Amino acid sequence: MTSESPTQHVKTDAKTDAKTDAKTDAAEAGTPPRPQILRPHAEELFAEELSALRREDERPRPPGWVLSPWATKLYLLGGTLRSGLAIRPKYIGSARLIEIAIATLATDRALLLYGVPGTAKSWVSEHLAAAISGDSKLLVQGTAGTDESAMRYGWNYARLLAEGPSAEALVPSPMMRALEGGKLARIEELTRVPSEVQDTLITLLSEKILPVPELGIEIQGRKGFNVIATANNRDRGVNELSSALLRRFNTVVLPTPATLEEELAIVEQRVGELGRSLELPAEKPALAEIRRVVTIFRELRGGKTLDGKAKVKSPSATLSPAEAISVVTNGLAMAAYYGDGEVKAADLAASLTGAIVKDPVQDRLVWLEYLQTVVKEREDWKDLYRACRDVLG
Amino acid sequence: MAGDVHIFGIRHHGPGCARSLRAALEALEPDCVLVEGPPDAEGVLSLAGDEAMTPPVALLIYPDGAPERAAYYPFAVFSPEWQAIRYGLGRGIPVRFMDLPLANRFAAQPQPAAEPSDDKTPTKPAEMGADENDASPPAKAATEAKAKADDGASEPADEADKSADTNDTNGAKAPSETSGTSGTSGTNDRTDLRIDPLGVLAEAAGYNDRELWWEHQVEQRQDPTGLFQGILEAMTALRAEHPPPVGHEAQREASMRKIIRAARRKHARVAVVCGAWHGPALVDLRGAKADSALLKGMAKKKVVATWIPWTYDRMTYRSGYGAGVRSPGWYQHLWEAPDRAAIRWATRAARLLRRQDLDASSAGVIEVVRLAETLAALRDLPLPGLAELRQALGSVLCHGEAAPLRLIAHELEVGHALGEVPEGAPMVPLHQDLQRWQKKLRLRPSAEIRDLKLDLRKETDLLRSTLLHRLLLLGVDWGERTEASGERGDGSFREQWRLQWRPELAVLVIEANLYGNTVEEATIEQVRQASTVAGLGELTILLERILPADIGAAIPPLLARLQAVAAVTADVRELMRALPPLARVSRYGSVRGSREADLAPLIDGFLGRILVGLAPACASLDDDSAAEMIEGLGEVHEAIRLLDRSDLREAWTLALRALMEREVCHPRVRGRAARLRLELGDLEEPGLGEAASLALSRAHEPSRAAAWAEGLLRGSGLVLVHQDAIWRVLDGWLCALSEEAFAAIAPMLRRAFSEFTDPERRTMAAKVRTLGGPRQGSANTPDRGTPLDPERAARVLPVLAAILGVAAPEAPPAPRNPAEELP
Repeated sequence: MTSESPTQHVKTDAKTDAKTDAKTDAAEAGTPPRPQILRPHAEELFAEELSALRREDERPRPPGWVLSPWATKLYLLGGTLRSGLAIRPKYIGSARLIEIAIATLATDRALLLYGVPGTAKSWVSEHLAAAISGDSKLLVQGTAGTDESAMRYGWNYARLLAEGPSAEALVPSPMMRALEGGKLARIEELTRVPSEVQDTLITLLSEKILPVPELGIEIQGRKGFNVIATANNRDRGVNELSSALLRRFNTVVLPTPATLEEELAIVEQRVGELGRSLELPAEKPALAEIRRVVTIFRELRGGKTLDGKAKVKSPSATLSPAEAISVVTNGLAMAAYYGDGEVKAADLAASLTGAIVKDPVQDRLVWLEYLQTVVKEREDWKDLYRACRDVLG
Repeated sequence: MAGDVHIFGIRHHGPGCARSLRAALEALEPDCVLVEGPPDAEGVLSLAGDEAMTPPVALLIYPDGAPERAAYYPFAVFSPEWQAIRYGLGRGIPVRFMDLPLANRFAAQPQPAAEPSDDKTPTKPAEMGADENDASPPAKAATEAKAKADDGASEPADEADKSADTNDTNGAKAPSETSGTSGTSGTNDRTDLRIDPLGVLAEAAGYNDRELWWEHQVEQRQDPTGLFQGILEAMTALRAEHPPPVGHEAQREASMRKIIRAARRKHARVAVVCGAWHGPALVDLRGAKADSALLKGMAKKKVVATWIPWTYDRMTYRSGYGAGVRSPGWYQHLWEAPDRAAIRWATRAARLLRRQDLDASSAGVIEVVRLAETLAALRDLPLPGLAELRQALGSVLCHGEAAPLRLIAHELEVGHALGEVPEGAPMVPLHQDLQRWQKKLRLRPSAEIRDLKLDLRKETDLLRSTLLHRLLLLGVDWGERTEASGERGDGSFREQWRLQWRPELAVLVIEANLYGNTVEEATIEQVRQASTVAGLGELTILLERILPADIGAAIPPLLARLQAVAAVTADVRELMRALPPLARVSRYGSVRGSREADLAPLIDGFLGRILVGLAPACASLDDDSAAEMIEGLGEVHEAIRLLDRSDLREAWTLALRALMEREVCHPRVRGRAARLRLELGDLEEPGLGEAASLALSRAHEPSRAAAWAEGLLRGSGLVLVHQDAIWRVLDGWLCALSEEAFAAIAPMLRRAFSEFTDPERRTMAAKVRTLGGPRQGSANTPDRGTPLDPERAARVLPVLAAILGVAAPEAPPAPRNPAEELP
């Protein structure tokens, strides 16, 4: 679980989504002022881009799709529309992976996004759903406690007892609503869902039918229905997918960024967005500091220095871009509240060490060795070296 | 009037090109075929039509006596040139090569590699549609660079040139151009265009990958009509932007035109197959005088040409062949099964996966094809190509795993094809080099088994040994190392070999020729390749093996590699195992007069890592791993003694001391540490006695104490013989054991004592008798001070008599003597 911590902000955000949803429903019924939402859905945040894309999209759309595959690709990867509107890139990285993901959904196969924590799996899945169905809210958050009612349907027991089985007493799952509406359903953390619950997906995915024997009816999927699941391959074996289920998915592995520049772009963009949303008073961090963090992460992850001259050991931590983002954001907060507002090595040292040292014995050695052999040797990194040594004690 | 000339601009190794070319030739029915290639090889050209000739094969051309400067011209069955040659030979019409003869080119440039790489970059950067001459240099550039470094004949620019060449032609261009073409100054634009003409076209068509563009526009084209006309026009348009070629480049095209002119005088329909880039220059055949002037007075050098078998692996970029293709296996697939290529490919991949016991259902294959087709549509392509298929396979059948994809890449995309060459083909350079050595060293190959004794102090014998060792490294096991009678030991100046030449060795030599053209060069390259895959243990053994082969150039990279591997090795045992070979190399390496590699830093690094990791690695071991660890301790100990350096010895002693005192260590390991310290002279009698009594004290479980004793004693009983303190402590401990405890540990003790030699046992027995004095023994020990009781002693006699086989005196049976248990 420790390796998950840097991505936690994503998860907690998603949870608050559900809550705020309920709240907004209540609010709409009563008083008009909407409470401030911590993290709006993709289709709300990027509503302008989506509607502009829809206007200009002339290519054929698969049945049930809001955008054509080409427009979806443009939405994910960014670009400029004929109207001059710039589409911000949602995913910085290999265009081919996004193409595979979109083509998979277009061939009616379910999509499994796989990868180490913090490689934008949920992020991509949300934006794909927003672009293709115009709705990223049909979400099953997979946990060890997820039961069948999250994949099929549940019952409103008060009504069930009072009236007997009826359509009104039925509580549809996000999956069922997606099936009925011809939309994309998303399953987060599929490997954490118990195997027997995973199994309900097998026939659902191949037959696209959900029978409700209690009512003597069945829900037949409408065109456009499909499933995007995400799973991380770091905690493999939690609830390993059966081969029968795996066969129904096309797998796309989202890698850690290929180049330093790409990773820098991701971290810088996200830190900027997060800093704004958290209303941090600090200045935008210097690119130099971000570059150092990203360099350290890449070197430790890759097992050698970027110039390829020296080998280094890799720690047990994933060191994903998401963690780099969190380290920089943390440094930003430190600088804002305790420092002079400008991010310095000392502001980064603590969270940097925390991100790298997950195992107090092994990782500490790895980090120390790296500090001694690599960081210390770099002329302009002395401040970082001292700050990190201070933290390690 | 002169005949018609039809120009077919092609790309190297393009199956689509080859198919279109074949169809075009059949439609045209030319009476003469000209192929861009070295006219020097025309002598062996007819062999290409031989039944036994199976591609992939390569034309190999080198200046007589300098095989290391060889140029290769690989052909696959899907190479357009190959198809043109086969077409011509099949029809019985003349087939000619029409490039500038290599005889001139070798002579023109004393620096072997500078010239071909110069020639390569302008016409065709990596692999597009120019000439196969370009094919030649990079494959050998890597090895050649090393060989050349030795004779020091090359300018630094050339070296840089070549190394850059294999990755990126851009950097290579500038220096070679100035040296090769008498200082022509090109603008940036012009250079770009020359380097990458297709890139410019692809960009114009909106592609960012020129390879892909060519693939889609030419290779995947189903209808060849107008294809070659189109290519010619595109190239003409490109070359119009570009100043006419100068220097060497101009000479090549002049030479081509000259040969075309000669051909059209005799033939009615001449088919000209050349790299796309050259096409436009060959259309206008006027200016014969200017061409002759250009070609006049060129020096010549005698060259040798032959065919050799080639492999698909060597045709890839990965092998360093600049005009290579990425996936010869895929091209062959396209060549063999042009229709429904995607479906066939997906099915073949699924079958391959199934053979490896990986799940790959037919339903999966269907999904692969659907996904690949959708991907192609999403990318606005008419048909799925290799990239789409690879991605679809990875996503559907391999579930995103890299390993099965690598398997597909290796087995299918590249493939294992090895060509065959008919018997009559001349011999490969490596073989010639080997023959030269055989002659020089008077080592005739013969089918008989022959023993050879070498005295390494004599120069000839040393060279012989070096040659045999090199051949062994190359896998050509002509000689087999046999034990010199009597002394063994790597420092010995004697070596004994058993030699036998077998016919299949010739094949091995040809295969080894892929590594390089001389024995030395090939060995260096082979070692380099072997060292990229091997683990730590293999690397040190490799190091030990290359020293007698005297290839100094291979040692520094190997050492660097060892450092890198050691840096990430977490397994201390592995490091320990790797140390003794290093120590041997360092100690004995110079005996052979070979350049001694400075191994000291490496050994220091290894030992440093071992010492750091030793204590944790010895914690919480089970019995089996403890036995292994003891073996490792012994190996390191041996290495330290061999190296005989006081600083190492000191560090090792300290580590052993720490090990001995660590409670969490397995007692056997601690016992062994005590023993090794004893051997180093770090532990004297009082200290050892103290340690022993501590380890054997009653607070410990008997089994732990016994394990300690086993660690200490196993292997040699001399400790017991010479260290009275140990003897006493052990004796006291043994005697104080309760009966069941003794029964429990008896097997362990037996194991500890089992390897004592007979003389040791005898000495011990004697010691039992003589060792008197005070002991810590308890009451139930028989007291040696008691006077002999003749009556009781007599009871033993019958048993002794039975053992010795003599007549027994009458006496009652003797009781068991507890002392028998000991040794």
